[in-house]
Amino acid sequence: MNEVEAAVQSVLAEVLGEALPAAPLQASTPLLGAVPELDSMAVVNILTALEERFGFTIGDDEISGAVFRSFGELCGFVAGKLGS
Amino acid sequence: MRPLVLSPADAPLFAVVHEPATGVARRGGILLVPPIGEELNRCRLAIAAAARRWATGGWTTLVVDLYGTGDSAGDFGEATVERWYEDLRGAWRWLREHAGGESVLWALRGGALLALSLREELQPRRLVLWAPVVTGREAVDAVLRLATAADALAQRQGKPPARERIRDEGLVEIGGYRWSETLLSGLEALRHDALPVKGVLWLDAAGRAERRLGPGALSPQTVEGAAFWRTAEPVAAEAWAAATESWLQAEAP
Repeated sequence: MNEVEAAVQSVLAEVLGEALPAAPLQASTPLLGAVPELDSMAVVNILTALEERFGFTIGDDEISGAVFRSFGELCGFVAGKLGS
Repeated sequence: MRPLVLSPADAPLFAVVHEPATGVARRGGILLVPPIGEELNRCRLAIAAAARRWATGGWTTLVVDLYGTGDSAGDFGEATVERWYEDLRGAWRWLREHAGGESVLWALRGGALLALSLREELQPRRLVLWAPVVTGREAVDAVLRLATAADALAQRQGKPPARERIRDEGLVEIGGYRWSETLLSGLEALRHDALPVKGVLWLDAAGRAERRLGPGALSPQTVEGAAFWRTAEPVAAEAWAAATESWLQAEAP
């Protein structure tokens, strides 16, 4: 697990708590639809926590269900924001 | 802990007060200025746990549901910033009459917007801020982002942005709350750039705090552990309560 994945996992663990599947998460671990606690409020809290952790800003047009389909897709989104 | 109803009678304000047990020396009173919207529900457990802890140290904490929130009268869609100021003034008067000793303002998250606006007027000797939101812009953006996220998850496309809808319709439901143009623009107008330094404790989550150094000399004291206001399951914020208690037990400035 690289640094981005570890940070994303810790943000998910903070917001979703025990609702999150047992760590370590796999790229294929499904999120949206698989974790009932992942509602729009949780999505907002995760995005805000990621912004605070990494120092980037996420625009409204970047928010989509696709980003939250799986752990791998969310990590890919963050890596893209970091330009790595 | 006991429930209270503060007047005015036309719109009763529900509150609970956590008081020291008989025989405990009374240090003073603490008025919570609550988070705004859904965050208040996430914070309820942390608020009650902190108030209970401080009661054993001699502090009376008043937790009031502002107009249109919790068990108080009114509809959230009709709440305004001015109305909330009025509620807080009344709660502050009650606290000063009943708690004795020093009176402290304790603001969580968006409550800091209101507390900092009232600070000059209420003149608390000390102010405690937990993960404060200090610009109305940030508070409003969080509400609008919730609307965006809800639309994205439901795959509703082509809807006008939430801010536009609220401006046009006056009232839009977001995350179970009816947000009005009046309340949003009232919050949006608030901005507290230069935080006062004397008599202020600013606690913030480690990892978040370093990105939030605002203008002015005040910097946050960081607290380990989860950012309790955004956990899906409510959690107590023991480290926050403990850090606040040690600061309060020290001599007032």
